[in-house]
Amino acid sequence: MNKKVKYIIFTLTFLVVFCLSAIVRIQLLGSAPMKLIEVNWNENVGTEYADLDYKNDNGNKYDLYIPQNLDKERNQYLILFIHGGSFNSGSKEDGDVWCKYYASKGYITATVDYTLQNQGKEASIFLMNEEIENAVQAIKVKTSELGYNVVGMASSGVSAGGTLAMNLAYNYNSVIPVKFVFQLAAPTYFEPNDWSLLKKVNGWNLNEEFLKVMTGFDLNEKNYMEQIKKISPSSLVNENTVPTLLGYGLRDHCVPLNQKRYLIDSLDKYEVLYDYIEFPKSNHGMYNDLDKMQEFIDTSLKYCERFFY
Amino acid sequence: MKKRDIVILLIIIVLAIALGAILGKVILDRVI
Repeated sequence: MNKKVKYIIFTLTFLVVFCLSAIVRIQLLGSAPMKLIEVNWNENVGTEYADLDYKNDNGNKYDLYIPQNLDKERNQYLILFIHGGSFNSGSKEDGDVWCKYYASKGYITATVDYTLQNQGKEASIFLMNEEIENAVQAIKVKTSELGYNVVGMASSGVSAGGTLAMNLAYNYNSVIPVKFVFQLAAPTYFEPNDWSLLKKVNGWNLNEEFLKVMTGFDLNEKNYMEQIKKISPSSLVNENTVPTLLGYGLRDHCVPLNQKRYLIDSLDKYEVLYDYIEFPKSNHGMYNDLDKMQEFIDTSLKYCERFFY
Repeated sequence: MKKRDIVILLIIIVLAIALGAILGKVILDRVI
C-alpha cells in the first residue's frame, strides 16, 4: 500500500468517526431528559387515539392517551402537553413520551398541534390560544364519548408551548377547568425589545414586524402595549391564577433570562402558589441538569396529587 | 497494512471519537 492511499484512509477514517461521534453525542445528550420519563408503552399501560380532529381552519389535530383500566365511575383528570419550537416549528409528536409517562401514572393525556408561523398563514398567539381552547373542547367531547368524566386538567408545555399552556390556564377560557400549569423555559412577556435574537432568526428588522406576527395586529410603538399584555402570561397573572410550576435554565440563550423574572414577580405580587426549579448548567435544551429535571417531574406529580380533586 | 499503521489508525479513531464528542457538546450548548 503506497503512502498516498494510506493517508487517504487515515483522513477518511478520522472524518467519518469524528462526524459519527458528534452525532451520537448530540443524540445521547439531547434525549437524556426524555429518557427519565420513557415508559414501555403497550396495551397493558394504555390506549393511544392518534390524529383526532378539533375545530380549526388549518387541519391541526391532537393525540389522546387513555390509561388502561381507568375507572369510569370516578372523576378523571387531563394533562395537556403543548409542544415548543419558537412558534414556528415542532409538532404534537414531541409530546409523545411526555404523554405516555403521565398516562402511565393514571392521567388522561393529550398532545396537540397548532398553527405555526412558518406555514404561510396568519398565526398570531391569539389564534394559537383559541386553537388550544378548541382542542380542549374536543378532548372533553371525545373523553365523554369514551365514558370518562374529565373534571379538571393541567396544561403543560416546553418553551413556546409553555407560553400557550400558561395562557390557557391564566385566561380561564378552558371548558375543562385548569387546576395548575407546569412549564419549562417558556417566554412570559412579549416586549419586542427583549426579543432581539428571535427577531434576528426570523429576519424581522422592525419591532412592528415582530408585533404584527405575534399579535396579528398592525401596531406601532405607541399602541402595542395593550395587545402585548393580552398574549403575555406574566401580564395575565392575578390573585385567582392557578398554581404554577416553572423551570428555567441559567444558560438559556434562546429565551432571555429576564423572562422568568417577569413571571416570578407577577406570581409574587399576587401571592400565587408556585415552585421555581432552577437548572444551573442548562441552556434552552434543559439536558445538563438531569437531577433538576427529575425534581421537576416529581414535583409535577405532587401537584397532580395535590390539585386534582 | 503494517502493525504500525494499525496502531496509528486506532489512535486516529480514538482521537476522532473524543473530538467528535466535544464538538457534539459544543453544538448543543451553543445552538439550542
